[in-house]
Amino acid sequence: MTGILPQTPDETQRNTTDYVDFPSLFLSGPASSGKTSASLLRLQNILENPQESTLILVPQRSLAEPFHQFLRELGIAEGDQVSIQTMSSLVRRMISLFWPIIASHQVFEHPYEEPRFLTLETSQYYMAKIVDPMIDQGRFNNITLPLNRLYSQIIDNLNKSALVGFPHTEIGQRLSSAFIGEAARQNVFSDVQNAVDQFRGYCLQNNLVDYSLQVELFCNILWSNQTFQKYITNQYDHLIYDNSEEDPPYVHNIIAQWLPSLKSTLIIHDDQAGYRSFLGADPISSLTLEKLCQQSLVTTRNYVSSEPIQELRDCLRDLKNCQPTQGLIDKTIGFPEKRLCFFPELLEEVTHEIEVIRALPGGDQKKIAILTPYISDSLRFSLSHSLETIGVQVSIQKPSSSLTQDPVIKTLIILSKFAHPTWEIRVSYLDAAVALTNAIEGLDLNRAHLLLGDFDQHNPYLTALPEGVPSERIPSDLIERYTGLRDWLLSSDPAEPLHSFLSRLFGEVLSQAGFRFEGNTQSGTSTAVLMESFRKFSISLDRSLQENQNLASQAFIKAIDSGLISALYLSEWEVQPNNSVLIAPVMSYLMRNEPVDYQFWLNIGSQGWYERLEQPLTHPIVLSRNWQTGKQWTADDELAYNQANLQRTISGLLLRCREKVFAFTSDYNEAGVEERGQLLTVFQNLFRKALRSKNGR
Amino acid sequence: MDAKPRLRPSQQEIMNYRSGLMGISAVPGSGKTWTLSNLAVKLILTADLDPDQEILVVTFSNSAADNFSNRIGEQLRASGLIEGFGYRVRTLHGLATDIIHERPELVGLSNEFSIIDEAESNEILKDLVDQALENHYDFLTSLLSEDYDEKSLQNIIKNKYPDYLLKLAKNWIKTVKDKQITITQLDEWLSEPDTNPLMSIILEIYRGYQAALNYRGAIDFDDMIRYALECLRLDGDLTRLLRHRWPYILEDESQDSSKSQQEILATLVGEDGNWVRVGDPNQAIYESFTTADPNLLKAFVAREDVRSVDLPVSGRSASAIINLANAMIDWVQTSHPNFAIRDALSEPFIQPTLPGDPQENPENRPDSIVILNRMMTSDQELVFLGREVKAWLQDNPDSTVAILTFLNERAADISGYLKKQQIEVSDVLMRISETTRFSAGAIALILKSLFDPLHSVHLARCFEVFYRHYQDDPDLWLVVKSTSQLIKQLENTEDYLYPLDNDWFEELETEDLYQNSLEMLAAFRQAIHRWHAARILPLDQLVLVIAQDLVLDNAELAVVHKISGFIKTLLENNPHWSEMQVLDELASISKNSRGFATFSNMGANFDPNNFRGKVIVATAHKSKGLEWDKVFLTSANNYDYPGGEPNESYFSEKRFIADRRNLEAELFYDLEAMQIEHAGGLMLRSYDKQNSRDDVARERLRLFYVGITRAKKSLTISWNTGTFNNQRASLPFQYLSRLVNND
Repeated sequence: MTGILPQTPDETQRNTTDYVDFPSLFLSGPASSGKTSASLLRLQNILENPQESTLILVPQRSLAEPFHQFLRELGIAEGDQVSIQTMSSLVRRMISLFWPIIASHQVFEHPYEEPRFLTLETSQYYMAKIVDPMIDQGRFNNITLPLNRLYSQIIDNLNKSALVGFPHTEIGQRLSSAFIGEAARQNVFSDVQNAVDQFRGYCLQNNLVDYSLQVELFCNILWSNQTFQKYITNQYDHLIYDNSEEDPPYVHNIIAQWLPSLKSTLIIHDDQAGYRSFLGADPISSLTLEKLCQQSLVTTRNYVSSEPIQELRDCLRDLKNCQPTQGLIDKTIGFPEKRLCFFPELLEEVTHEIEVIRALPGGDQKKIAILTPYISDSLRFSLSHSLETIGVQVSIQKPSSSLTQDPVIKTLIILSKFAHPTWEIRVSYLDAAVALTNAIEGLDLNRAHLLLGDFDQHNPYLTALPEGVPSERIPSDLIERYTGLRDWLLSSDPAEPLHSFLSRLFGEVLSQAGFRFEGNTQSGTSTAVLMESFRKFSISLDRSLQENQNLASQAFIKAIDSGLISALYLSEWEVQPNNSVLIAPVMSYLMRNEPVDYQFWLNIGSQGWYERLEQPLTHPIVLSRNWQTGKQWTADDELAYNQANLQRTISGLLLRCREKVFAFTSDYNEAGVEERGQLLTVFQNLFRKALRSKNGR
Repeated sequence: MDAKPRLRPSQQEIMNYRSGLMGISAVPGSGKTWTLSNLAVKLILTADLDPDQEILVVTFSNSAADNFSNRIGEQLRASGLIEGFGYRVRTLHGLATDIIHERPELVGLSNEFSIIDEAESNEILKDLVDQALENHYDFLTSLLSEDYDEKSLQNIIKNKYPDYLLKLAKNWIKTVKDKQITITQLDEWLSEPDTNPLMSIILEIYRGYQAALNYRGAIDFDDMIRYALECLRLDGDLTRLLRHRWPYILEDESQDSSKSQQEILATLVGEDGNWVRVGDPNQAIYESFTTADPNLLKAFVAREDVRSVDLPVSGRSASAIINLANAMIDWVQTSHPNFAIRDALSEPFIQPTLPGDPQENPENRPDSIVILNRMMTSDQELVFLGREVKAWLQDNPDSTVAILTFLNERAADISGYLKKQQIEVSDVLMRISETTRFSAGAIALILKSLFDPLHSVHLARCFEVFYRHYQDDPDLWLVVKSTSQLIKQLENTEDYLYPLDNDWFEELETEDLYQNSLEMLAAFRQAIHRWHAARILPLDQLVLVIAQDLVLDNAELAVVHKISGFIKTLLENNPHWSEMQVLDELASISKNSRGFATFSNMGANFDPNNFRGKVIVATAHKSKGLEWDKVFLTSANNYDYPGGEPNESYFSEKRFIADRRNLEAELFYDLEAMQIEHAGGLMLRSYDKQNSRDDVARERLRLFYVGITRAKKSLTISWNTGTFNNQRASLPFQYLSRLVNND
């Protein structure tokens, strides 16, 4: 038996493992009640029959980690007997594979040419081409939103229509009918509809397949095709579908139709989750699968939290009728004794508390997570800096990282600009100096400045050695490396595709002796990420641009500079080392599904603990199946939504906490703003009740 | 709880408040903040609030909000209750932001909208004004006076006119927003014949301005108010929810509220709500640069359904000063030669405290009132002030003293002169918070050295900033200074920072240096290495890394965070800026040329008692809410305090505008007329320059009154003949001089 399996399964878990007697099982219950662990036991049983294949379906990659770990421990390679997928990856793969079936439906203007798949960023690139001229014509003028957000929210609407399953032509009307704002502002929804229609038209004309089209093509064409059905049902015998509540309705529809042809199915539903509702997740739709399964089981036991934490959770679920004791508060909640005025004081206090925990017997092995609605770069920096000063290792979870935040990638981008002076893309003096020091082994910033001489940032050209610099100030080996790099860059062929240029730059220069990427495996990974990012960008481009690699490369670098392409890759999944402190946004932490001993909740005054983010052009509830068409969305709905969201978040966090929660707030947040959100009120009420019961009032 | 404070009868009446509408007219020094915070505490303790309900206290400024929060918090702690629970203290703008955050999409915002400060708003307008001047050159220059030769005219067009138009546009946009007039409405109104062509141009600027804000995902301060109102108007559920959340609203400084601000509160109160408003219409001195209107409070207090209470008793000033202030109210109301402005000041008169009051008035003294009716030039007045202040401080070395004037420039002159006379002066009230100045400047110096690491002078300055916390220790500071001199003399900085064969540091070891010097140099070099390594980061993050290595207190660190956010916004809005341009912006914050929204806890809570024995120089505007033992109210001439008399010159009637027209007042008049006509009404009065002059005169009378009522023990008032040596003593000065000097 492997290390992550339950030692003594309870009855529900035992039943769950039995895929013969429970071939079509819907298992529900809260987080940390052993559902996933039970599914692993079931998988273990299925694996005993090597001829049969299993599909593990999860809503997002992070949730697949227990399955990956389990297979690693069993020494089974993914792909033979077990395939772990998200529905979106499956959809994308199938569309690629069965393109001829789609082509035969003549949806696209050039059906027999290769499809070009769009990522979120490349979709934004094309949406910008449609929206920018509209803005010039005075459209969207009542909306106060940075452009990137404007593009992404329109795309989000389009995706929602596909995920939820309504025609994209109804987006504007649905949003507009729920909106109670003034008519002048309401017009913006027809602008949205217009942009959506144009975008879809453009995609169909140019064989571009964005996420919404992928889903629509899969649901409307592939899934109803006999050949495809035969293929996919033959592909897998068993299905384990974990966290079904975090998937959108179209996935539930597919599963509902797939069920009868599978030998066994286990659907696991977390009945207090649905954290991805802003991405279209629909727990209500997930529950419809229960009726289609032959058996249904419910887990209730909590395998993680201490009893006091469970008591606290019960209390917070019904605060009105709960009478918390001061003893319960003392056991479960850490609250700073002094009022914290400014944010740095809060960071100091958090660090101090962690130091105290670490000093306890066994404290250095305790798992700690620092959670906050958003992690700004400065928070990440300050907190890790201050924790590192007390010798604590930090692991940071950000949903995605920007390309330019990676020093290697930043260096490669700047060197690419040096090699392509005809692009006329500015390089600041500072960036130029930093890129040289990052590239050349032994070069310090002072000497990089000496080498740059009177470098012109508008005409980024690396000169031969500047005059007047005595040779004793720069050692000859550094001069040699600089000259080597410069000559290599200037001799490169502008028409060479960027990914090939980057590959050569890495292989022929930067990974060689005398340069900093030598022996640095991370730099190889980063280079590959940038190359892959360009490749994806490039295949989505117009044919004319694809044919002119110099222009394509220039467009890519410009798109990175303008922030249009900012988060092209997901950071690799990291398992948190036992002795490190995890810093994560609340939502990412919940989707990571990994319990800890102590949780630090930062900025409890923030509204980010519950409010929906994507506003004002999109709306996860109004565009969901659960919204009554034509009903208006008012403050009452907002309040109910926020309260439910907060309740879900609090509950989800406490289910993943073993011993104690530390709640922190400062009068002024990081940005110097006073915040008085609902979570703060919840704590204040809790304390007040405890104080009253202590005082006998 | 502590022993109950002794209340004056008028304060007791307020403390008896249970529910409904109450309007309180308070006089200067009557303890209105104290009374209102006591009332808030009483309501928190006694009103039957649900857990999700709060007493809402609304104030005008951040510092007042902090003041309230602290007072309420202290009293609740003393009562064994949790601080911060059951109440919310907000400025009106803070409240508006809270409301918008409930339903941002109703007004086309995301919940991450940002708020631009005045400096940034000016930057946007500046470009638009330049563009307008280019596009409508003929029309706009036709508004200029023909009394200038071509060269002078070009000089005006290049230098003065853009600033003038910017201010015109800014104030007009502010008013349009306050009146909640939409761009669509303006388009419609201005498409009709015979409308003001200048207004069409300003509308074009307004349109461009809003587009620029949209692009930035930002709103300005005036948008906050109108959007909050729009949210409340559109979503009845929201209004209902907020009425439940805030069953009591206590409002301080109500005389400074504008119509829209008042409307927000009125909407939150609803028909049967509870609203206590405290203010002093005689201290309404912000009309010129805000949309505040003191008549709103007067009208509220006069309403039948409002319980009107006066807070007339003040223990602040000696009775002679109180009598002078009261005499001024009486004179304005009954005898001011300009009938139109006799409503500038209103009752109640100030009453001294009764014997046994916790705050008894200071004793009268022979020099309680000095009104120097002597014609002096500006320079002569400086000499007079220097002499008098010196004499006062010799006799009263431990007292608080302020010199108040009208114009910023004059305050700077006075301050400069006194410094030359070796008199200890602080102009802290005129500047942004010291902490911000320091941190922004310090960071700018460090960044400068990082951006140009070859420059030894920059490196030496950076060294001093790194060890600036030693400033308080003369011995250590001497070491810092002398070591910094060594760095300054470095020929090649890399010999110290990144030595190869010739290690400067090693050479130093053999020299006779101060103890600690080498240690300091070693630690500094390590920090520089760290900072150089961090240069890969975006600038805003680099700043935070630097801050971790500096010895800063929490308030300073918080400011660094703010500066970091500021840099991030700058770079987001100006992606093509070079690092040097960002550096220039930082330097300008530290040089005070650019306002910077600081934390209200710092600087804003100015306490004159911390400046005993020094002279505070400030404008009368900045003195509001403060008090000093001795006050010099200066420059009381008819330029600073015009009375609406003939031959007076007005700031808003520029010489370079043809016929000295007041274009701003004309625009406001036309706007009001259009709004009334399109609402089906008729504008009864016609445009008259005198109306706007009277508005100015009213406000200056109140400013004069504010100046007088800052003094506790002694008040001196003087006047000068102004820059062109042609001004007279102002009317209130003349009257008070006659009263006091019998001349």
